[in-house]
Parts: sequence; structure tokens; C-alpha cells
Amino acid sequence: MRRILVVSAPLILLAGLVVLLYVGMQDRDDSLPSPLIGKPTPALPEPDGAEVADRLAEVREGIHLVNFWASWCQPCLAEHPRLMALARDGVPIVGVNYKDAPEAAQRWLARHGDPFTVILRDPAGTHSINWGVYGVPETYIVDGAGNIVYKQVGVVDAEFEREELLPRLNGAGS
Amino acid sequence: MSVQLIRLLWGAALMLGATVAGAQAPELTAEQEQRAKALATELRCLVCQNQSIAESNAPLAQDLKRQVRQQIAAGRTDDDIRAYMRERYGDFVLYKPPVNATTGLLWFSPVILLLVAALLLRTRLRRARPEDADEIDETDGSER
Repeated sequence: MRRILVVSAPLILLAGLVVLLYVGMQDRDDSLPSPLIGKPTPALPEPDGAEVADRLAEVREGIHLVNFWASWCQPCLAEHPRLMALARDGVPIVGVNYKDAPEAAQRWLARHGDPFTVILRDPAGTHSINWGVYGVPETYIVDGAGNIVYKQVGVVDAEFEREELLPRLNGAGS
Repeated sequence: MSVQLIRLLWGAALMLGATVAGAQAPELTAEQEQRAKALATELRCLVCQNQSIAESNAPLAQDLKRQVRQQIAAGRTDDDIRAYMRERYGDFVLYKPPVNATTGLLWFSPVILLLVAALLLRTRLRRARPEDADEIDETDGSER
């Protein structure tokens, strides 16, 4: 009996390891957790003119999205229809144009549609570093108090909308 | 559209991104240059993840290197700069993460494993000794 236990111990350990590694492999989400969750947002790039500044101030009074995008970014195009749909539903979206040429960004929006309530430009990417952006697209949910409540690395998908965005929008009563 | 053409366009877009971001890095003294290099080897490239920003040519790594240089030029200490990176990208950005509740398992699991192994080995050896004593003597003790 004791002998069986000794012999089978390595097998049991191996089986445990296999299960552990298998479970680990199922978690394909290798996006980094943001240390900024629950903290006030870093500064956004300067709005271009007083009219944009007013609109931005208005957006920031309620829950909104801050989306970092660029015209050269393929995944941004992939998530674009969802942003358009959200914009139609009245979700305010601040678009931070990351390391992009203004003309290229304009062309992109003219061609695919403009889901952004406000567009800000971060040509050198320095503001984005302050937000902890390490690739585009990245999307933050920001509450009316100006705190970051969620960060999505990569494309905003149906799961993001269903699990993260809608409950918070409904919770805020908007 | 061919795959090659798409690749070419993608490369051009990346280069465009890099030129747009090509703000000038400040001049540093030799000693400051050393610090910038040392810090860059301690910071992980977030895009490539298995390289430090010193090794990586990814645009973000270039930007972070420039940040390091600018902050050194502005007179901030190495610890200030490490804290700056951590506030934005979390512990992950440091190749040598600090010991805290979340990284505890990472730091101590080798010690724990070693202890468990030592314990197992000890019980095993203890049990084996009386039976196998003769054999060990015959093999000239080299098995020990």
C-alpha cells in the first residue's frame, strides 16, 4: 500500500502540473493590468480651440470612453464599427489620435466615419505614455468624477460592451 | 491586394508613426548617458515583453528611452524614473519587480520548491539507508 503511494506520487504530481499548465494556457489574455484603475485620469492633450475645450469639459461631466487610435492601426479599423454603434447610442467617446499625421487621420475619419465626440491629438505619444498606453487601440472607461474605472487593451469587443461598459452606463443612470 | 503590398504599407505606416514622434532627445553628459543606459536595461519593453527597452527598436521602446533621457536631463533621480514608469505600466515594467503581496509568490516560489524538494529527499534517504547500505559501500561511495 505504502509502495503504491510512493510510486504513484510522481504521477499524481505530473498530472497536477499538466492540469495547472493547461488551465494557464486557457487564459489567453496577456494584456497588462493597469495601475491607473481607480485613479484620476492623467492629463489629456490640449484641445484644439475653445469650442473643442467646451465639448471636452461637457463630456467629462459623465461616464465616457477615452479611445487611443491611429489611422495606421489595423485593429482600430476592426473595432471602428462598434465605436460607431456606441456613438449612435449616445455614448460619449474622446478619441486620442496617437502618433498620427493630421491629414491621414482626417482622411481615415472621412472614409470610415467619425464616432468621436471630441478628437485630441498626441503626435509624439507623450500623453499616451502618461496613460500607460503601450499599443493602439486602447480604451478606457472614465467616470463622471474623472477616475479611470476600466482599461481595455486591444479591440473593444462584444464582451467589453456587455460585461464592462453597459453595466456601468446603466449604473450611472444615463 | 497582395500580402506583400499590405506588409509594405504597414511598414510605411509604422515608419510614419516613428517620424511623427521623432522629437529630439536631449544632450546628456557621459555620466548621465551611463545612467540612461543602465535604466534602459532595467525597463521592460511593453510591446515585445521579453526584451528590455535598451534592446528593443519598437517605437514605444524608443519613446520610453527618450522619456528616460529627458527626465535625467531634467535632474530626476533613477528612483524617480523607476517610480514614474511603475505608476504608468505597473510592476511588470521593471525587470526586477519589487517584493510585495502580488509578487510574493514569484519571489519565494523557488525557495519554497527547494524546501519541499529537500524535505522529500530527506525522508527518502532516511528510508533508503538501512536497506541499501551494502550497495553504496560497494560502489566506492561515489554514488553518495
